[in-house]
Amino acid sequence: MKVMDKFEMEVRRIFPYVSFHPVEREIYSHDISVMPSSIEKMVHNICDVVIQPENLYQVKEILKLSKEYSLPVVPRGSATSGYGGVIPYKGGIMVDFSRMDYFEIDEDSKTVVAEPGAIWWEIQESALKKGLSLRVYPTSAPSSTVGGWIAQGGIGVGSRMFGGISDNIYELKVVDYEGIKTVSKDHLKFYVGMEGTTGLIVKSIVPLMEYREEKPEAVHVDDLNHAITLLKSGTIYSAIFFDEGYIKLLNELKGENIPERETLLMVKFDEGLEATPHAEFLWNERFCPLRLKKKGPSLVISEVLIPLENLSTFYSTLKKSLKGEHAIQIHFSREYANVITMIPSDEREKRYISDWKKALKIVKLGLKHSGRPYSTGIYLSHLSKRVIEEYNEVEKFKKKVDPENLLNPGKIFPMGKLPKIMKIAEMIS
Amino acid sequence: MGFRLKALSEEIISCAQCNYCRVCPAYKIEGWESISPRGRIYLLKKILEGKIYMDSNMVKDFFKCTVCGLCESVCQVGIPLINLWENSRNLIVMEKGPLPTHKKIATSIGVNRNPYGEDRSLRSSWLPDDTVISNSSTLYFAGCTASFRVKEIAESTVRVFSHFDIDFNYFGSEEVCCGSTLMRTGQMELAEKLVEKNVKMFERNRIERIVTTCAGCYKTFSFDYPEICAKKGIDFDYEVIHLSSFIEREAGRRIKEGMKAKLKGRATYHDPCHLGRHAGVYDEPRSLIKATGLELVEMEHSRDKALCCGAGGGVRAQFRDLSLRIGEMRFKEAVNTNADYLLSACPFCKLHLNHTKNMLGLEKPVVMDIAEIVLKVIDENNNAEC
Repeated sequence: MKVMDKFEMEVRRIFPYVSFHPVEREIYSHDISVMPSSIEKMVHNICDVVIQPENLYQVKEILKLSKEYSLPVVPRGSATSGYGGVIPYKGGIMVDFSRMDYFEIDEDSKTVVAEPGAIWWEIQESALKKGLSLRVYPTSAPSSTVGGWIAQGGIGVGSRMFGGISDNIYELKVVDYEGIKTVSKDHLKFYVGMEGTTGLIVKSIVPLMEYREEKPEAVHVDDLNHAITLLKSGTIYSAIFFDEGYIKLLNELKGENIPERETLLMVKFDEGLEATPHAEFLWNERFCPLRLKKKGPSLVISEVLIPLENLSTFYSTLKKSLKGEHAIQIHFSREYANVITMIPSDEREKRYISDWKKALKIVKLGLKHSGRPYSTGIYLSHLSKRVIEEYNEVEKFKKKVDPENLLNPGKIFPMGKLPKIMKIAEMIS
Repeated sequence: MGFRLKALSEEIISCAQCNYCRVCPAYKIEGWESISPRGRIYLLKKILEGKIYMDSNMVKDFFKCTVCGLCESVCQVGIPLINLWENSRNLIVMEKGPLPTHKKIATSIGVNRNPYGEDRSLRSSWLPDDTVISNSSTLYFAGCTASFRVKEIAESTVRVFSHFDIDFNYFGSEEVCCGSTLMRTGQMELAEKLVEKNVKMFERNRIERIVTTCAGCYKTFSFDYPEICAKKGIDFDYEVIHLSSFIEREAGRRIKEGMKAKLKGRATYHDPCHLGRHAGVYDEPRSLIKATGLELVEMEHSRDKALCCGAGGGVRAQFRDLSLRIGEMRFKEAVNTNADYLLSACPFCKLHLNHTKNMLGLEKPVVMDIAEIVLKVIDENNNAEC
């Protein structure tokens, strides 16, 4: 019997939800990114099997099989990121956590205990019914998973007040080849934002807050400096800046009549505050940044985290460099701004490559301004040292817990030709 | 296949793959992305790029969608997904042929003018003997399901008409399937023949207004017929109205203000996908329910976010277990409202929700159609007068 036949037999014996069908494997081997074909050819690979574990026991079994057959393991939430974090660079076992989506809200401790496949917005809806609310959640909350966002790291709604997801985790339960581990505080750095390269997150404890009514206020600002001044003037829960290009496209797509000017949306908990015109609409739009794809039909996106003190100079240089239709959203955290630049494009046309180069150029510009890409995934792993503050320590930890590099290989820790090619592409962009 | 899909490439490529369409009821049950809207779009894209060949498993998975349109209501890009599913189904059928049960349906429609394999001469067997049918320009189009499977809806409808002295025409055993089932299962060739046949009947009988009790017929006449007729250069200038809107308009006030005896109890309303999300009719059925005196309580998901009953898109015919499990999700929402009645405005929804209820072995809520509940309040008042 061939090794892989034996593997298949074992998998089918242990797990009730399994697919070896080539089409299903193809579907589970991508995320929202669409790369130029030359890059995609290098990255594209199909996992050997998709397993949907239902419990911790099954996750442990997956890791046992991974070790026994030397097969990589790729954890997958909702695959709503665009950095290739769920692309099975070296094939292997795709672990789809969609069936581990249980969560429980503890009203006394104001926390939620969630399995990795739990959906952020479903948690929020349940919390609201109990008079509680998440402190932070991603802008893809209607579909993104708890495990997915924690593994990716980053900032989202509520981050101006509460920081990123890394600042909002009490405890994680993870599984690696050594067994089950419960981690908190300083040890969280080995897992948050690590894209499953050091272990699979199977449970998270996340803090909640008392619900307070959100009052959005939209201010049409003179420029970004004006917006930054406004931000410093009050206690703000969440803040998003829209450039005039974004507002223009939004008006066009949604039939709105918002003044086509740079606009700052600030969300406060001030009960006396009246919502300003268009504020509610823009606040509801927080979940729909990809709406602009309608203009494309493709969209080239660049996300860079810039320290607030450098934001103004970065933004003015960025605006000068961008020619043609584009839209910018800036999400504010306590110390950083996530600058999201969107360029409508068409992947069927040659211009897609040049638009994609523009995105790399923006990353490069961000690096010059002491910034870093929002995430690295598979495409930007050559920049991991810039993204992960204690890279050397984390790398040492990775080697200890995963000496064979089977946990989501190719992510965070560069391997193969791709990082070199991406580095060159970034240099010539 | 890829070549045929080129016409749909703009919609296919504009999918952001954000997965907001994870709300899809078929995906919720099956749990595999090949069934989910984003998974299906991804596959279409790969077929378009010539990277995947559509095998029989994929075809089956593609047809597990009830085309309820919930995905369209949550799509942030605003892709017209209902059209995309129906158009791509048509292309799949052109290349691969219909699924076995769908093929049987088409054969039955060709022979019997209904999808149920029933003798066409019995189509009007439900019609009460004392019904007065006139040469009115208002046509009551009963549709196949109310004519053969849930006859009480058709009967209630004409009794309601009689009570309110509404003059109407009815084609009896000459009535021909509107073609909805064929259109939803990608079998456009035969569907278009039915369009021609029906329009000729409307012309011959000088029809100006078509009243339907079936949400599927309503969608088909309102949206598909004008499009197909325009393509074929046929005039289609008819007012199409669903029974709930028609009664609300013609007699809503009389029910609300004129009928002293009111119904007691609590009702919840299931929005049929073809009437609600596909056609935007949400208020009239609710207004009628309230007019009867019933307390209206909403289910967890209602109006444009309502869950499908599980029957549509040819799923009940081809994938009975899946359709019943989707029905179960919906029925449990109705049970959670503690309603006495689960009302809908579509014979097919009633048929399927009742089937689901029987499967679950539940007594309550009683599944009824808007036509029946209106007749019930009329009967209450008649009895009170006696």
